[in-house]
Amino acid sequence: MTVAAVSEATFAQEVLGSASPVLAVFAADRCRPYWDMAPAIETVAREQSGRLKIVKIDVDKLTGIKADYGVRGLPTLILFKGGRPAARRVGAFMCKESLEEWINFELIRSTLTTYSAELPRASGFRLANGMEVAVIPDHRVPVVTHSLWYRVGAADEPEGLSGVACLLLHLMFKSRDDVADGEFSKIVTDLGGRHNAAGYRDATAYFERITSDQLRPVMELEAARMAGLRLAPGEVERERRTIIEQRRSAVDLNPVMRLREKMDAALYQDHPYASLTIGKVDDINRLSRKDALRFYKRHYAPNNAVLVVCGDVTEEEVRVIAESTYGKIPANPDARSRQRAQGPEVLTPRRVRHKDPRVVRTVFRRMYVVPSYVAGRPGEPEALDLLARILCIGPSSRLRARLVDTASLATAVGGEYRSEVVDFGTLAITVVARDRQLGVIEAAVDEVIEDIRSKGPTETELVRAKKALLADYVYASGSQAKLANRYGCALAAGRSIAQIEAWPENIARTTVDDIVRIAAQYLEIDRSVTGWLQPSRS
Amino acid sequence: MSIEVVTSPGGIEAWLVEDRFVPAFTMHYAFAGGSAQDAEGKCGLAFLLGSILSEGRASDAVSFDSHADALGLRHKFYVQKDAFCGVIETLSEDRFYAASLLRGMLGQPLDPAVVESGRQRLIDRVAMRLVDPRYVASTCWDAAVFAGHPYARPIAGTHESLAAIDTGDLAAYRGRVLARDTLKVVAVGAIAPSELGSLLDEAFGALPPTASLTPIPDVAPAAGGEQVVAELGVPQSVVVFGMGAVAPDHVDYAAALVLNNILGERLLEEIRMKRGFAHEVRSSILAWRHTSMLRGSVVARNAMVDRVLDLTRHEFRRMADGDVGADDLDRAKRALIAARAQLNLGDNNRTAARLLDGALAGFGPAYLHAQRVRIGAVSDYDARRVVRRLFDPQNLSVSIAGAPVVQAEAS
Repeated sequence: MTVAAVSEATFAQEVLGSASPVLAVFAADRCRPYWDMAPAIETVAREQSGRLKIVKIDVDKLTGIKADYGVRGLPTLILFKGGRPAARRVGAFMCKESLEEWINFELIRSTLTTYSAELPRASGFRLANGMEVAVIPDHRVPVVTHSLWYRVGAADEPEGLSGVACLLLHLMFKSRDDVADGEFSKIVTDLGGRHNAAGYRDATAYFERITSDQLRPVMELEAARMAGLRLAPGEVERERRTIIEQRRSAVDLNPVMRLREKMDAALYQDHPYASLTIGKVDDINRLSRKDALRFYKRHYAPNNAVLVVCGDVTEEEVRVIAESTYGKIPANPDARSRQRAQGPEVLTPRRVRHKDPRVVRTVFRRMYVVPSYVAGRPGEPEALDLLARILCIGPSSRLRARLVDTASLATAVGGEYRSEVVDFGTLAITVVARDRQLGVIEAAVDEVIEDIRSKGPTETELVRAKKALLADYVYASGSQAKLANRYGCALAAGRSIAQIEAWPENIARTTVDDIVRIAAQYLEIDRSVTGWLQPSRS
Repeated sequence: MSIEVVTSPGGIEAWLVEDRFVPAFTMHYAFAGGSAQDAEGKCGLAFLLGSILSEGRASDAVSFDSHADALGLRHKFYVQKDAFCGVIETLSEDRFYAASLLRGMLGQPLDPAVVESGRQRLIDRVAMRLVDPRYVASTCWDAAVFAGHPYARPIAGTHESLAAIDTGDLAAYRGRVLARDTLKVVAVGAIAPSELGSLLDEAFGALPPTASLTPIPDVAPAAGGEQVVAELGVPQSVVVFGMGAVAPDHVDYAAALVLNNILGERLLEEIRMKRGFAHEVRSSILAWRHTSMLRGSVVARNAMVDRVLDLTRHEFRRMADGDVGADDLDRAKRALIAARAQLNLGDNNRTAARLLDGALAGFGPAYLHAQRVRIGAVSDYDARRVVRRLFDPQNLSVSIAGAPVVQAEAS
């Protein structure tokens, strides 16, 4: 018997002290509905063994416990988590599936309720010059992650100047500070800090990680290079060479990146998302100091920036330092980003092939244009997050089950939903083929996608995906760098702290119907590009 | 941040950083041994074991991976030269289930079908890496400077060695290496010491009490050799360079860290900043259980490899000649002390990984603090004494993968 009966003596230990959640079934032997659902209970108990414990409580014998929990109707099901009732229901379930659905739904709901109170949260304010600030206190260690996000990225580069956002990012570390006597990069390292930067399509971010007593000098330095970039002669030439090297090792040497580059171009056509953030080699070679400075003057201003500070600091401390540093920089009324070409307008299936002597394994890749968190209607992006997970992410995804586990056509399946962008998101699927049968793989992928568009996921798949996404969210909340990224990316794209923090609840609320709707609407072959990566003889 | 040493009722020890910032916790653990314990002719054995354990099936015929996925558990195994390691991260509410899953993964009967598919995947991965200049340069450096020693073998194995491994080899390795007496565990997150104790027993209690490791001799990397190891049709070459250094328990270890930091800054300055020859320039002091080394790498355009090598040798020469100023020392000491002042922390997984490194090197839980003190105490005199001995460019061994333009070295 997997379902054990408990006594007054064992109740405290078995139910309240249990490490895993416990479903307590309050019933009596005379209760017919209980016997009707007993087989379902047995099956669930067996299948969820280790994750969920199920016990039976005989209300005729355990009258005290019955009274403690106010049990009247029979059977009553109470789900205990961490010693407390998390959910209850009066009345039997007629089948195993509905019992399971109820348990799973309530487990996720209680995970969410418990955790939403325990997760770190941000508070925000705005400086007089329009700069947005978010603070996430984390007092574990005396360390602060300071990140500054400009609302400008590769997608805002003028025609023919691709790569200028990336060049500027490099040059920012060369900005000289006469007070501290040195380049930004060196001064931060000498303060014992680390720095980093990242160029995205819609944003450019600068990160510094320092001990909390160094927050003021770092904010002074960062503000100084926002107010005026000071470059020694020759810097542009040197950094351009470095970028070309970087492009060579990251893109040119990497067949998968070359395939991506071609697919982005085919998918986005005239829209600036069509090219990689690092830029095209011809453009990079032509960029001048004047180009970089013009781009800088137009976009780098407090009213076009978001500051996210996470670490051993309070909102008030950040406000005081921010006002005396960034706060002194006047707003630039002409700072404008986000004037984008429309597109992609022509919706038709596209196809790209890349052959490369360095290819060892053939790869199939499919990308769809879908809504992003900024451009999507409420609920759409969350449904896409779940859809991506169910379809192609993790060891239990549909595509993995079909291509790796069942048919042995592939050795790996992966995917991502790129969601924190301003104009369009993308949902991408990547399959590493076992042999070279890309045609067979493509047919199988299409079949799996058609199936999910018409029938949707099962409740079990949806619950698993929700739990996995919520767990990821909690893990990431334990890292200063990831918190800074979560808030910075979304705020820079134009979302609010409240919207960011509503994500777990929105995930929990998404239904199977939501997924069917989103899949049917957006996983449409006309919105996609298909890529084949194949070896060629060298 | 405080580190508590917890001993389970069954006698398993762990370092715990109890922290309630998020309702989750992560556990990093390692068994001594790693790829150096691979059987003769079967390199990649530990690596293959690590890659199949989570794909095996639990008693209900569902894979461990799938069980873990249902709760959003994250787990992985990875292999170093001297250690077989793992990570498991879970929401607090699923911690006991996570421990029982780990017990299942470590103790499962090995399934030949799972071994076979894991082997295929690994052979693929190795094939892909053989065209990656980074991988080729670094494995060839190991092969050249540790020739004849287990450290010379690649962790991931080769096509031939992987093909030679059978299920019995994997089971034998597991029985010899995955044992409680060499186990080091670091847990970080929302968990009380007493709970961690029962978790440790659940996860590791069924393992054999003692490992039976093949003795590995101490070794110093061979000095002075240059080799173009692989002509790969790529526009950039990867240069790996290095020489013997001192172990963490050596009196000069802190001085070596400081001096290496100075060297690294200078190489970055000369090769990347001033000339833009390369994007990536690195140098670090590495300590494995039976050797220690200074090892660096540069990714450079083929045509620049010669110049990069010249500049590198020149900087080693400058160091060996004692050209290290007091301000260099000051700056390097400050940077290293800050890096150990918990800068890496504020991230549960990084904290755990960092502490596990220390535990594996044989340090106590307070080692980050102890290292700060030792680094702070490095004097000008120490630095000058050590620098002459440690940075002699004659001792440099170099491996290059790519299509470098290199002139034969005039000796």
